[in-house]
Amino acid sequence: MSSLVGDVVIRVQAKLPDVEAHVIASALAVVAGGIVTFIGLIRCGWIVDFIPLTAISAFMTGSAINIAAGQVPTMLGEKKFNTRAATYRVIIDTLRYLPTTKIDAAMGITALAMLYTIRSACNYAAKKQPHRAKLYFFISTLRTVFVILFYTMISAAVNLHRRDDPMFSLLGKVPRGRHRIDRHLTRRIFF
Amino acid sequence: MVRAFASELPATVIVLLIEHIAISKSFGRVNNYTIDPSQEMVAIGVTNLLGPFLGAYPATGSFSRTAIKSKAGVRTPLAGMITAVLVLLAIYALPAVFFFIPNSSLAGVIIHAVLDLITPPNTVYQFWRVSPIEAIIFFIGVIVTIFSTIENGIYCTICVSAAVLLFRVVKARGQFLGRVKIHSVVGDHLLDSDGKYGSPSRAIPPLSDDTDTAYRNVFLPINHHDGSNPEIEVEQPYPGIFIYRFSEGFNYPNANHYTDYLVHTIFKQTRRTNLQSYPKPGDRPWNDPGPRKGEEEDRSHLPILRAIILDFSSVNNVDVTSIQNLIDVRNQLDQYAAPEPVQWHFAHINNRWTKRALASAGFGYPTPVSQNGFRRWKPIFSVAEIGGGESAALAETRNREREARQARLKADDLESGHGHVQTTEREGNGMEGGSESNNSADDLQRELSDSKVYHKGRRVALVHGINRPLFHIDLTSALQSAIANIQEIDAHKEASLAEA
Repeated sequence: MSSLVGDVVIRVQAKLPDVEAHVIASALAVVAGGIVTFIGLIRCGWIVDFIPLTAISAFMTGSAINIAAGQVPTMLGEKKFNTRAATYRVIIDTLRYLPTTKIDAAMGITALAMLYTIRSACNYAAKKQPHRAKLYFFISTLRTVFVILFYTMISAAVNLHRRDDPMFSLLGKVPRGRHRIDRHLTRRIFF
Repeated sequence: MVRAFASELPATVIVLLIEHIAISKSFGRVNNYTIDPSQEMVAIGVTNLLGPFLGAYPATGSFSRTAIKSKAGVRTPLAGMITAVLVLLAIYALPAVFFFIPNSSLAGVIIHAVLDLITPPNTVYQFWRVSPIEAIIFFIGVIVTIFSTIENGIYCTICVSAAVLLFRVVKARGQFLGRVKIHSVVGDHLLDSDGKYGSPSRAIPPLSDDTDTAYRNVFLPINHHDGSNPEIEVEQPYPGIFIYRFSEGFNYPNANHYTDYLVHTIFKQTRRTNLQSYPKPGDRPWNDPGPRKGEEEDRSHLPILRAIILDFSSVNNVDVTSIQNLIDVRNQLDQYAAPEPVQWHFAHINNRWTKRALASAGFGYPTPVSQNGFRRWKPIFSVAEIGGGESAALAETRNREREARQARLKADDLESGHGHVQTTEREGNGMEGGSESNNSADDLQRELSDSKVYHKGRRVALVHGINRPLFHIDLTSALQSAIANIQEIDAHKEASLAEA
């Protein structure tokens, strides 16, 4: 969903350059939500049966590959290029820019490896000790939180005194709280 | 702005639905409840309708959160509030920490999360085993997604799937059935010793208990395209009788395809009754190739066409086109088999509307004979047991009694939908059988009570209306009726020949 919204926002911004991205996304949500609510209210939910299981699986697989391919350059710290192009293009560019990888790769690949290690360890342990399967499941679901916290700690330790020139790319400033409520959203959607 | 993204809306809506419905369905299956897609759509729609006024962007179901909540034992939507409070806390308390999150680690987490969504190869192999063409559709979808966009991938898979479905419906081919005698086998013990093969799964229950239960008739495709044992000899039911089963409904896209195959096969396996049907060469339609010069094959050994039994078990509804097609074929075959009209029997009609449509096209009733206007017709009706010790429950009996009472009230008009067609037709042909069908349900009940079935101490009722003797409950009774009438006609003919 998110990657689709991103694509839509980019395409719409090409047509209407003066509209902010978040307004486009919100407008899209309102209109799509209205359509879906309408279909639901007239009790036509059965139209989802026109979407076969193969279409769902193909969509899931395709978009997973798409998103993963788009994230690999970031994980390796490669030089910036357009990761929103078609997936095959992104994969080719990723390979082409391999020589530009930076120390980010160390943070990225180890994080990925750690996630898979924790998960397989938990699966193995749950099989060995079926009575604690639930515990291992929750450890497994918390692995993302653990890995993020762990690497944030490393990152903080490394970069605390060099915030302006970090050793590897950081998420950066996240605005506190929520954005101002857009009072003119309706007007901007339809005009 | 709507105009700017109007072309993106279908994909957005589909993705919104796909993710949400896929998640809710799979967890409904895990936790044993059914979902109402309309209700889910209202929920996700209202979320997206109201959220943006607080700064939200398009939202849909989330697999990971749903999985965690499902395992954590969440039962009500209240859990959403707790999640919301936690998210709000994080937004206000933690931005300082977020600053140090390395982009590359975050990318690793995202990759790890999405790779689980890839359909595993053994599931794809499962697709392949269930339906190879759908595995191909799956790959088409993935490849289009990779080389084009996600939207195109979605449109592509949905359209190709729909096209395959339509193609199957359009190119559906009927099957000619033959009769096989089936014995049931319990363990290694044959219920009757001389039967060799048993396939209980395809068995059609016998007509009634008082027929011989040593074997029963089932009908299998003559060409064994259903995968049944090719060593079983499926016998043509009777020379000149064809049993034809529709495979995927009978509607306007495929009506022509079905009947073409029917007529083609019949022409191949039977002969014309009147060989000199085209007295002059010019009378033959130009698009009928006819026999080649000097290669006129001898078809005299082939039977003539007597009856066609249509198995409607896979047909729910018919439409004007398909019925018109059937009427055309009837006229064509009547000409082919002249002077004797072809009998059309129908079995397993599932739907009142279908019965009504067929009746209004003049089916279900013996074809009137034009010249002498007189023919013996031997209707065979199917009766069902009601009440009695060993059969239906008491409630069912009461139900039937009430229905019978209603039927008495309606008197002659058993099939209320086409009562008037039936009477007009009946006036048209003065048949002996007609007088029998003119009896009301009461008379029939009286008649039945005199029959041998009644003496066994059972109560019986008709399954279908007596005004349509050619609509049968199953193929066995249809075949019985067809054979009985062919023999009747033959006997009648012989008798009149002897008289002459």
